[in-house]
Amino acid sequence: MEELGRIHQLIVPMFGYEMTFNLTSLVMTWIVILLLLAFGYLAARYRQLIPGPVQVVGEMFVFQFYSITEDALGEKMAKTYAPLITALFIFLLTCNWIGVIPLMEEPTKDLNLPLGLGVLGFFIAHYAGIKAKGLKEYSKAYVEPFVFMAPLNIIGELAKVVSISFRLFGNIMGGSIIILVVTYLVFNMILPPFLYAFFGLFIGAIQAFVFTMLTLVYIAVQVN
Amino acid sequence: MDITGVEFIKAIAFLGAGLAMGLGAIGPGIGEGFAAGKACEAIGRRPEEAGLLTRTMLVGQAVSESTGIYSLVVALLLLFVV
Amino acid sequence: MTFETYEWIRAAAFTGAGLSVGLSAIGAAIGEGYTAGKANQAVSYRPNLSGEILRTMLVGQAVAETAGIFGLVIAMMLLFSPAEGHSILTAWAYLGAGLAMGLSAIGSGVGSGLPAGSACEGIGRQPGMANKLNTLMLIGSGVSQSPAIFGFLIALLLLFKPLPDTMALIPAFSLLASGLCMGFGAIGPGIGDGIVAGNAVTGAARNPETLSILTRTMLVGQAVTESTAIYALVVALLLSLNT
Repeated sequence: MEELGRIHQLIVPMFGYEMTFNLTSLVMTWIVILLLLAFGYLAARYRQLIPGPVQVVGEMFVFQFYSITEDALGEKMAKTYAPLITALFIFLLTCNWIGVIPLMEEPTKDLNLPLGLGVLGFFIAHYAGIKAKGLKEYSKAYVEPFVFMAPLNIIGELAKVVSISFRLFGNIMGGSIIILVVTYLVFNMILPPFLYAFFGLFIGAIQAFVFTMLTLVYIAVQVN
Repeated sequence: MDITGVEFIKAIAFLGAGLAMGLGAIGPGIGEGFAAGKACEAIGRRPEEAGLLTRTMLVGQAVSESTGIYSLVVALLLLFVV
Repeated sequence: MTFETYEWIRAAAFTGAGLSVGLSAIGAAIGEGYTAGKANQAVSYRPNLSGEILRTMLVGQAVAETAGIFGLVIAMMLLFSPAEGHSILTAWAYLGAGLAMGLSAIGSGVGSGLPAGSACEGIGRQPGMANKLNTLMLIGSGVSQSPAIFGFLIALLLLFKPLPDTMALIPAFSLLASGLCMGFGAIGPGIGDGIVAGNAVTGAARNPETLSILTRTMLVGQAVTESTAIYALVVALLLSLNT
């Protein structure tokens, strides 16, 4: 159980403050990014009319998420936001699934990655809202139903960032801790492989999809 | 063990924060579930209105959630201000 | 009559273990009973599908049972947790851990039973869709488990937290409040998630071509329903920092 709280840290002094980097999640994020770059290269570089297996997978992702974005935002805006939504899903899916490989850890187990993506989604949603409706119409949403509700509306918006990022973090972290505890209790006999499959693949895929859909829904709520 | 008044109040405030958020989350949880559940049922009946129904569901859930957010605000006030 | 510190810790650990497994059994039992009731109803309409319905019922009950198993695991860990030489604050942490796990499993247990019941009913209506309905039910009840997973997370955090050796009122109450916050906060979202998934399964059984759009709406609806559980998780984490 000792590995529960252990973190490989890199502490860099900067401008009188100390910046702490979590080395494991940094390295794992870079591995995921490199994997995805290789996947993108293979899927898009040698395009053929009769697609190869990698191209089929790539086309499936792009097609599915383009149609989902189109349903939520309409055809015009789907062209702008579909690449973001597709990339977000593929990135999170790889992040959540990479923990199934032994010696690898999910970078989403570190709160900083979901929080970063949540803040990114927050700013994109509000930018999209201002761009689509204009600043006046956009700020009108905050004084509904009464003017004095504005602070609560703002807190409600900020709480969305907290809920979206803690949801991903809590589920992935909880899943990996459950595997650790069960491994500790039954001494690595039979159950762990099944649990890896269940929590790593099933919960990982669902949470990646939920995060992506919520980012899309937040954009859609701001736009409409 | 000596307990000062300030310490006592702070301890009780923390307990209150936990209870505020904990109990305050029950109602919105069930209520939002009702909203989304009925939306799912309605989409099963009239799939062509899915976009409108999803939007109505989200608005309804946002309103149901406001009491949960009040609890969160009170809990954070009890945690950091008292 | 005075007791030693480790006796208090043992007492708290046993109370916590009892609360953990006892409360979590409430939810799991209600959920499983609901599933079995719906399965019986479906079998009475369509006796020739009894094998199919029975399989779905057992799978659904197994998922609803997961919340109870989480409670059992925490109870076991509390029973065999060390007490000698620990600070008296450990007693409060053990009590909080038991409450967090036990209460949070109620909601998820009841919630996971609802989609399983709807799936049994739906298979009675649309036997050809059995596999698709099973998948939708598994996704829905799997997501309904996440409040219980948050409770499990907080319970483990409280169990393995290094605590200072001095007794003070503030950390003691923070540890207890952390458990209570996560425990109570997970009841509502657990049941709410189940209602969403149950209605989604019913809708898919009524109108099979809406399956994909219902899966999407269900996941979004459940994610929003869960957000109060996540606020409770955040407050519980903040409370547990106060030691």
